Amino acid sequence: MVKQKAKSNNKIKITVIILVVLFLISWFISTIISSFSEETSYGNVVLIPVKGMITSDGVDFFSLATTSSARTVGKIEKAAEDDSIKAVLFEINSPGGGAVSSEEIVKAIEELNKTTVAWIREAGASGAYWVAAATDQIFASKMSIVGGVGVLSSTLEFSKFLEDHNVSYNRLVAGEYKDITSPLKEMTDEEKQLLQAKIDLIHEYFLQEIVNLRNLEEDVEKEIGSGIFYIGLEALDLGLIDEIGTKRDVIKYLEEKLNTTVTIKSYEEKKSFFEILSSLMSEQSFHLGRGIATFLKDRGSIITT
Amino acid sequence: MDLNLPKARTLKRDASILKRLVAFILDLLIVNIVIVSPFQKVFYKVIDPSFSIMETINQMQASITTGVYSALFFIGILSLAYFTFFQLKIMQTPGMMILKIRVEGELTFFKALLRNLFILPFFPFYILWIVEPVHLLIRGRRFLEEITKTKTVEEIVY
Repeated sequence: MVKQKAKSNNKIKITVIILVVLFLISWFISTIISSFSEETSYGNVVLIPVKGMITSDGVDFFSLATTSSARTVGKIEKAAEDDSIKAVLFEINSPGGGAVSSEEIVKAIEELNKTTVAWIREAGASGAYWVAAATDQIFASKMSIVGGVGVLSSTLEFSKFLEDHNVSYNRLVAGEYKDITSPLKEMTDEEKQLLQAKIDLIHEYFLQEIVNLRNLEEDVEKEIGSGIFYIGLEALDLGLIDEIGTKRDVIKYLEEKLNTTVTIKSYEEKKSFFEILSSLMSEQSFHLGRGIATFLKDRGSIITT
Repeated sequence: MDLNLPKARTLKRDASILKRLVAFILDLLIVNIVIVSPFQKVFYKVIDPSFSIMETINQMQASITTGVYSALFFIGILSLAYFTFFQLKIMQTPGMMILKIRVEGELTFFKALLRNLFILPFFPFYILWIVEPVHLLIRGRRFLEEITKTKTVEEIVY
């Protein structure tokens, strides 16, 4: 009897061990497979986000969202080759970004032979508005920030600061204007004029692009050329956007345009392990720095105005 | 005090097909909980739950994902491990324990593995899904049991 009970206990022990081991192995293998598996999502309209500053590489500074023009163009090209995709929806929430990187996205949209819609959320300004203008239809909220057709190239200058602290700038250049934008020296009037001319050139090109893309009248061209931003309602009156609406309105528009039910998918970017680690570390560092600064400020160690 | 009662007698016979079937179903349920359920995250990732089966199959034919096939492969291997190790160590799987049936015969690791090969869900092993039940119905033993010189028995104590 005792022997039987011991045998029974032994069986239970072996059963539990085998089940636990198999479960752990299954969990481990499934986690590995899951991390390498590409997520398959189905849909006939692809949503491409344009969020944060538009840059060439989309470098993640302090975990602030940026849009990489290279990756965005890649997604647009993928949508072009994807027969299941009938339209591309750009979800825009960006204050703009680099001129070249914005133009890269614009040109990719122009080459795309499919219906494109821009849905501006909080902001679609400057380069981000340029991206929106390249699409077939622009939706925005009544209070969205739209426009800002201007060029910004302002810099900080520390020449007086250095002077006050007895630090001198030893200028050694080959090429008179090589250090034209150096913050360590005072910019001359001539240099300012030179830079201003270049900025004006970029602005002229940018403005002309917007006018052509949106078929704007001369009076509107003059007004928007000031670089001012508009809220959605104003933008509608000026012809900078086509409709005031929400995502539901955008989907309704697409369904009428495509004459089919719309299912939205997105091309998710899988971050590598190191990208995840890097953004996690940068976020942690940012919050650590902010915490230290707050502590020091409360103690009166940092003087603020 | 010794009452001199007659000793219990054990009758051993081939396990009934019904008991074997129920035991197998119970084992499959346990396999589903222990082995298959962790892989659900793989399936949910690659298969859109809002799509009908036909739409999913059509999409799968268009772009077959390695993840699903890898998952099925490992589920098969781990299920085989389940049956193999249980029968090797204690001559019974948990389903068989509940139905009080067990494997009889000299079991080595290779024999335990061989007699359970029908579990694997890929070619050529799924041919055994037809061969095994037919052989069991006709001969009272599965084909792989005959090869490995083992059988499934039940013990009746009276």
